[in-house]
Amino acid sequence: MKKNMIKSLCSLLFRLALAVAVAAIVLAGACILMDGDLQEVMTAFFLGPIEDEYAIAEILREMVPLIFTGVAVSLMVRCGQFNMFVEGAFFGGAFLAGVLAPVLGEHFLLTPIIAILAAAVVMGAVGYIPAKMKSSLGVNEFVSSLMLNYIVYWVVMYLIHGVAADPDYPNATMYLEDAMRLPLLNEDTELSSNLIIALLVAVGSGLFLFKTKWGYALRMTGDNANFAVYSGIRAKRYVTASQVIGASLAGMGGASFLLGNYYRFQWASLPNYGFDGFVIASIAGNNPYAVPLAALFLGYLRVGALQVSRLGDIPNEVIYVIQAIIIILFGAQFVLSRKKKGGKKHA
Amino acid sequence: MLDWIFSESFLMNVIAYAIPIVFAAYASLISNKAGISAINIEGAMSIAAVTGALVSHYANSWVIGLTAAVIAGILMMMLLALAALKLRADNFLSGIALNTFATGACLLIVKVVLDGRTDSSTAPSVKVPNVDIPLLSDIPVIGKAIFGQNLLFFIALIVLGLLILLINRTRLGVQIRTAGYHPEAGESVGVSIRRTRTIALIICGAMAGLGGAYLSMANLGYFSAGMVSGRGFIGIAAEAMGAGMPVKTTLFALLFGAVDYFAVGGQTVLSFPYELLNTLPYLMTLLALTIYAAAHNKKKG
Repeated sequence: MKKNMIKSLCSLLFRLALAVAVAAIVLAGACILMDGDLQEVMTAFFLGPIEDEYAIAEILREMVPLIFTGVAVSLMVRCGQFNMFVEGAFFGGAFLAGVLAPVLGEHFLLTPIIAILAAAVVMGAVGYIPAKMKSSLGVNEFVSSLMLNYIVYWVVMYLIHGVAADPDYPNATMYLEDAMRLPLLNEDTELSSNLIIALLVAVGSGLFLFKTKWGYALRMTGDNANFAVYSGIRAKRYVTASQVIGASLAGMGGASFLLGNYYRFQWASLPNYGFDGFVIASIAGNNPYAVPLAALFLGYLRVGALQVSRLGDIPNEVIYVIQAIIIILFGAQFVLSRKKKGGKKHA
Repeated sequence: MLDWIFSESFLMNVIAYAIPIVFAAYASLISNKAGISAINIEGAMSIAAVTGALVSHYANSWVIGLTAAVIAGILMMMLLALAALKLRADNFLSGIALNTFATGACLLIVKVVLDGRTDSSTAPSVKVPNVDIPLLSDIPVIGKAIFGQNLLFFIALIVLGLLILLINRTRLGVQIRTAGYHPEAGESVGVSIRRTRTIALIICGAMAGLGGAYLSMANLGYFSAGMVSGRGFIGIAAEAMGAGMPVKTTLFALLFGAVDYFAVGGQTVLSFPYELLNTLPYLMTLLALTIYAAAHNKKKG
């Protein structure tokens, strides 16, 4: 047992080191291509994220959406579901919070909490559509949830161009007063308390997944649905539940992120956090407890890439390329932990 | 509104909007037949779109541009083969990763080549020409729509024929189907599953390349970030509805193309908010998937 843990920890560290190496190689390549100063770029990438408290706060800010979507994806993948609605639910949840909070008025803590819970409930309900389609009819949840993302996106666009918009501020919801938002942890760096909610969600999901009988049934369904059914688990119920919970957590994440870091909802495109959730889940091996660490890792890389792009030579998009390679790097292990069969062991 | 639907340009545009979806559906069809799902068709299409647009501009030739786009599409699928077949990463997850890769790489390429722009309208593509078959294109209503289409429409028709032949009449087709239906049986008689799937992915990549090239080299005269906007995924849905049958898949892709054009074209004709019209193709796909699955389950008993 203990030996196993050490072994998997070593494997994780090896992969993280490999991921950092890949990031450095991609950056160096881009640097040579764009005629940048290699030493300057590397310093900005590796030391930029910890150069002052603002940069560190930026990492912590980046972590919040990653934790929420990472946990949501982990729960769904543990049950064998590749649902993409995390993306749409995060977007929809943020929008709902932006609309609801001004309606609820200025009540310290109460307003943001009610808005966040409402976003969780509504997005969970919307997430029920692809979940039920999968469990009852066998419709591929990947395609249906992607379609649902686009539908949510355009409905939000419709509302924000019309009824939900601030009449004095086109294409945005009403201004969020301080009392409608989540309190700040630090006035200077504007670090929001939504980080605490994110960490609580990660721990709570970990407890749910590993310490309750529902969590056990959910994992069993993901490992082998037929076996789960034979042992008396109503697998279909968990297939639905895992996706609804995932969507609901993502909605909660969007709401917490908006009420922590923004003064209005005015996103014009899907923010891609849902797909980031898959990066995080694969680094964390679908373990909610490990999700905050994975988010810290990716947050660090992202702020590093941001610092590099501020130098002016290399565009920020280079991070997508690095992320893609990281997912594949962690992918092999991902299969082993999900199916526990076949495949050569790497590392 | 009826005038609009029964006009000559309506059918013309429906087919024009369906072409990228048709190619995406063929890409999905051939990979699924071989038992590997290529959800990075979406990403491969956008990489092909940006490659085709830029290469055709700088080489000043649509032939070279189209070839480059096809090669780009194939390369993207070879990355999937590398990740999912060679490194044995999860098939699905590799696809998601490669879509993420494509999102970033497309923007990087345009930004690097065109100094920080996110579209290539300053470097317009050399467009793939339209074909005008004499006499036939003079037939009222359907003439222009079918016989005066873009060259890629005719390529799609040829591809459809070749696909049917390939799957049903060739040795490779049998191997591809074996790799999909019963890989163990294939291995036991000496068919290399990995090799067969790689070949299927090459064809899949070429299809995605053609679809992407159509977007930036025929439909629009330049590449813009996010221009694929789910057409790859809709193609995958069309293939799911067509249940792996080429003709049926084509018909569903045409249907999705029709809804897609209805949403875009309707914005000027109908007094209906365009945002809600834009949900139509996706809503339609969702509905169609549900009905199809329900009917399929009933038949199975």
